[in-house]
Amino acid sequence: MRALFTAATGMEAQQLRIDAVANNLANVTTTGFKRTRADFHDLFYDTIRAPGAATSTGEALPVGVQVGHGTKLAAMSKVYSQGDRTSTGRSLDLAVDGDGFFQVQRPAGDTAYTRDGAFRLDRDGTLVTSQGYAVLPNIQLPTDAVQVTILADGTVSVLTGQSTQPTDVGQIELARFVNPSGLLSIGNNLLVPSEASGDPETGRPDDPGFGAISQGMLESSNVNIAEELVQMILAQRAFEVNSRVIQAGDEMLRTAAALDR
Amino acid sequence: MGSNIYISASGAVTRLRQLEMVANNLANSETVGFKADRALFHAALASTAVPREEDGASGPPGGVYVEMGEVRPDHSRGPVASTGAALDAAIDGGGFFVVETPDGERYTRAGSFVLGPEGDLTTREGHPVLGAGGPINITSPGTHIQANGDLVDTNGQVNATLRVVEFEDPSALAKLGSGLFSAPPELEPIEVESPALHTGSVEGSNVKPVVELAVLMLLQRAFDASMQAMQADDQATNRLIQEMTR
Repeated sequence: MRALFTAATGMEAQQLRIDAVANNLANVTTTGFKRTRADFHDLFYDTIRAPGAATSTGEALPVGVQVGHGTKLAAMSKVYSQGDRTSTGRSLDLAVDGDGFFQVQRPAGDTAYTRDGAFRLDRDGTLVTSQGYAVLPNIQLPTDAVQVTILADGTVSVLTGQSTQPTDVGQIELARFVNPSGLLSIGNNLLVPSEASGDPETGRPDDPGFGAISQGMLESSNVNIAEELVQMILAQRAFEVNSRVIQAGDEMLRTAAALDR
Repeated sequence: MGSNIYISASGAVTRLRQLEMVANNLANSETVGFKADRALFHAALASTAVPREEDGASGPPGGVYVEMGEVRPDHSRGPVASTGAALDAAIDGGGFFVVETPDGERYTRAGSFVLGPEGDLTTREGHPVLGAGGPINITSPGTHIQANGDLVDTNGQVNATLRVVEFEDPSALAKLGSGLFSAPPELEPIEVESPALHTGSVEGSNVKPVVELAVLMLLQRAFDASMQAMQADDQATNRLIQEMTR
């Protein structure tokens, strides 16, 4: 009774889809979050009769009989569309308008990537993420800085003390990947490269191929609630019809088993 | 005991096979680019209606044995859903994208592509997608698919063009899973010169759950009827044996 297992693959697939929807909806207000999309593929087919095989009357079959084994999850991929920008007025809140990730140094020493530009200063005046990871390349603000200006091209300048001339203190760099969908999410809005993502290519914001920096803005999550709800309804209904097949298969087996009574 | 019980059993076996088909269709009701399988009713009922023994001397009398004659994928277009992804495309009308696999060219309607680490355009399974000039490699950022199949970067430069082919009789294509179809050697792909694509969208499954559930109900009832026929036949045989041995 292969149909029972086939229907079970369908139910399992829809469960995974609900998992993705749940995570997307939970992160509807997460800064820089990119929604996940579940893609499905059909499983392999059993060829019961190949096209062209002879029938019992000796004619060649124009079309064969192939029965499939259900569905499987092909990929859960992040969709890197631009999220809306919201104005926060904080001078250390940055949003990337276009392609590119901020680079941050993890405690282990490796580099992680993020679209979340809600930065802070640590006690030494270094620009860090909300978890305290330093932004790469390191940007150190003088302790007497009164005003920080970050331009679209990532130049960081400050006004200090009584001075009226801004001084450049650093340059924000962005990294981009050939296949950002291949990045691995590790939580805390951070992503790390994988075999599939390719190597990072760094550059200055606003250069060709890189997005520009908007100061005083944060990139909102790109989760669209209405779309997620539609996905949820579709997954729920698909789950239901698959369970209906299991029920039908069960009833048919019962009928067959009751034959010899 | 006549052949009736076998005739009924062949009906029940066919319904079980049909159930497997419905199960596969419904399991793939949300699979990108999936084409529903259809068992044609007249074929299932009539195509193999043959007498069992042609000399007629021995064996059971002729009867209409039922077997599933053919399963044809329904190649009607599925609903086009917007994804917003730059490398997604759905084909408007007939045709298939061409994919390279170790076993040769394969064809798919699932236009949901990604870039490999080296910039190769592949399917979600990692098979290279073929363009007019072979595999497609993209290094310039922000590349997206245009409605005519061109892959264009942010500067408007055309880097490659997706190949779209069609077949005289797409129902002769065999399904391989993972959204791929293979063509028998005698079926030559015909290049579509100017394909029309819906960009930033994928073609959903063309399975209609309502139709599948209707088929499911019908086949269940047909199965029950076959079972009852078997039972009736069995009872008649039983009565016959009792009458004869009294």
